[in-house]
Amino acid sequence: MSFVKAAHAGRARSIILLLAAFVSAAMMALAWIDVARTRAQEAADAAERVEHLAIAIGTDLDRGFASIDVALGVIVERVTEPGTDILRHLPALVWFLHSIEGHLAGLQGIGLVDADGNVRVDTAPGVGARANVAHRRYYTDHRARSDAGLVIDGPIATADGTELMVFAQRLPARDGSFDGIARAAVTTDRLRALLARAAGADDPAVAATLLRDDGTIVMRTGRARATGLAAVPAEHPLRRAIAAAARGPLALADPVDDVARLTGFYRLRGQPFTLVVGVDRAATTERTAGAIVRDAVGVLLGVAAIAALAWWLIRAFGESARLAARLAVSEARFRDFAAASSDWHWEQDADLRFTFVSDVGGATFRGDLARDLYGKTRREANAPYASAADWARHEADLAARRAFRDFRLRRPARDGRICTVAINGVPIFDAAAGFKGYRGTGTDITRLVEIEEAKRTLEVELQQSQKLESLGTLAGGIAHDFNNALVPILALAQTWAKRADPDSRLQQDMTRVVAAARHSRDIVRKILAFSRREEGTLEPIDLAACVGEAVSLARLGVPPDIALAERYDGALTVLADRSQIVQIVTNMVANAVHAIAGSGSIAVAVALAGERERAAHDLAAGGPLALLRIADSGCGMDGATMARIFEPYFTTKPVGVGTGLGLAAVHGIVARHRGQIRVDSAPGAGTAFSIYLPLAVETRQAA
Amino acid sequence: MLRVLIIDQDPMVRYALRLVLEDQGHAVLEAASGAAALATLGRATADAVITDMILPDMKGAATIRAIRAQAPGLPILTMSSGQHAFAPDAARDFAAVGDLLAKPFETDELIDALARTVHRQPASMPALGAPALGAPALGAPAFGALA
Repeated sequence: MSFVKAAHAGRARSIILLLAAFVSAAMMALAWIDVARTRAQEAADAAERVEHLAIAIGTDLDRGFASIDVALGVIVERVTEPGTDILRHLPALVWFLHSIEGHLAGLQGIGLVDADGNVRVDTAPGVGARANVAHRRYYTDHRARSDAGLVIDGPIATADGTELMVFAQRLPARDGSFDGIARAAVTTDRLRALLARAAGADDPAVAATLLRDDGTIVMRTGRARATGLAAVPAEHPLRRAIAAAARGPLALADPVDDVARLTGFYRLRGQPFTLVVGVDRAATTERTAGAIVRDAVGVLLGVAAIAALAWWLIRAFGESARLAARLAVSEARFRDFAAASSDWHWEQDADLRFTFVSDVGGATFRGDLARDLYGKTRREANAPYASAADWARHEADLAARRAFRDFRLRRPARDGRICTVAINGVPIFDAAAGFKGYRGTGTDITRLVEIEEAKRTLEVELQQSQKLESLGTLAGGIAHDFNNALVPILALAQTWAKRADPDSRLQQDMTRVVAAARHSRDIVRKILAFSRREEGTLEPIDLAACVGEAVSLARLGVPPDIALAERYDGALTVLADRSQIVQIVTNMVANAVHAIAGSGSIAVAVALAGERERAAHDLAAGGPLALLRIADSGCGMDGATMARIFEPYFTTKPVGVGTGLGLAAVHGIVARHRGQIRVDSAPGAGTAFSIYLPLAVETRQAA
Repeated sequence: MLRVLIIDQDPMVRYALRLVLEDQGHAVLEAASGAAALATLGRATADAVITDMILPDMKGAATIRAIRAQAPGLPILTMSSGQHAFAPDAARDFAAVGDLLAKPFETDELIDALARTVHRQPASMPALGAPALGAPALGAPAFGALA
């Protein structure tokens, strides 16, 4: 019996033990399944994060490169426009290059290179006109083929240790052949900063690398920034993955620091560059997995009776740990997006008051913006920054709960610059179709707007100069025929005046014909000056001395009740045609006299153009310029008159007094001297002409 | 008395110059083109040539070269209506040539220029250099600047 009892007891214990073992094994298995599921989930999340990071940073780089491409495209378009003589338009072009450069912060310089590789113009200081870049890839690529598109070359080390990326586009000649390139240089520091910002510079788990197809490491962020590795060998798995057009994410050893990372790829649009983004995933995954294993072991040591409870607990804990991990990944993803994008995000409640504005620190004005916005409506925070009409249109959209796009505000940034931002928004509704507010994005479009404006200004200037140029060509042809036609008129009239009896009617009339023919000859000479067909030689002259002589001539035609003041700030050497400078001064002084009814004053001044004039007159920040200024206290003119004063035959003087050729000739002369002319005037407020001529080289060196 | 060949495609110009020169006692030959001028020089002698820089059949510089080849040492006075570019080789051709007259010119300018050219006096351009108030000279293409 006792044996039987004992046997029973032993069997029961065995069953309990077996049961316990079975339950434990089941628990272990379940726990491990959980761990495996979590790992798989996390791997998927990490893969997604890598993929998204690569796209976010890559598109930002694309966008940065595209804006440089657009700038170069505008230049190419300008330079290759039919009838555009690059050298003739150089002042306007240099000005335009500088204005673009200002908008694309971080550009080292923009320039033009001719078909032989000689740098013709560059806005970067210290880039000499003598530099030749015929050995550079960005030149040879374009030279070799006409469809190279935007060529990006670099990094190129400069003499002062800076590294540059050079962007280049082809300049086609009129017949389509190679005529040189337009290029823009950006320091790699600047691109690296872009990369670092996008990758989240403070996140040690992210490493971003920009690789050229030949393996060159163009840029690198992340932990192993300064390893000195210049290129990734062709046999490295990373290179093979790129060659196979892998999109990732793949687990790869980073060629720079040999750390295994989950690696994503982004192929830059139309360029031989690939962005490689690697993320360490060890940290988070191991932590969660460790917690789950510890829980599983605890359960194993527990009582079988609470196995079900424990099992449920583990499930629940595992689920929440998994959820927390996923949430963290998702948060990281959105942080990546916010940091990588140059846009920001906002939300408003049903009262249209801001409840959220994404923090995109480091930007010029957005930090202030976020603080200012919470609790306010957009109009309360921004009322002065859009016109009343724009606000009315915008608020009509809001009242109708419509989505809106490209609502523009012009608000001052921290540094006082005016920024243009474009706001997009969509209404949010709950499940019951109740209005919950708005949500949307904001974009700083200042650069875009400024480039558009610079382009428009340049277009107006080019149109004006092309219009005058074609008029000049026409005038030149007519002048030629008139010169011929005047030969017999003048010669025959003079001959018959000599042959006729003295004081006879015939002699008197022939003398009148001679006078009329001479007058016509003078008009034709003015037309020729305007059409720039009549070219004297340009030689170094002292502008101040030359203008001084001209004023002493012009003074003869100034009535006594008009004061003529002169001011010369030292000698300024310019390359000029002395007789044409005299013509400018005599013409302008004559015009000033005409503009003054009764008494008044005329001021002639020659000086070095200062920053104030350059800014006020939109001049390029190029070489030094001499300023010849002729101002009068006369009647002034309105905008419509000002727009036409340089057209041939446009005159405000009575018929018979003015030919309408004086200022047209001045315009031609100034253009021939590669100078620029600006007019400041208003009705009743007098007129000031400012003529800017580039200083000759020797003066520049002496300065 | 000189025998002067006038080369210009415009008959009105040739007629006017003929009148001026005949009043000075010169004899005048006329040609409307470079080819006609060379033909004339082939059958008649001339003491001087006055030619426009733009002719219907050949450029002024080519005409001058051809005349030089046919009649070395013949004085040549050139006229221009102010619209052509001088190439360096054209300037070389001109090195032995007299004044360049900018059309239209005073009869006295023509007479003086012809006299200077025939007598190989150094070219000067009083009418082209000094600007005067009211009618400033605009730096017409001046042979003197190229020599």
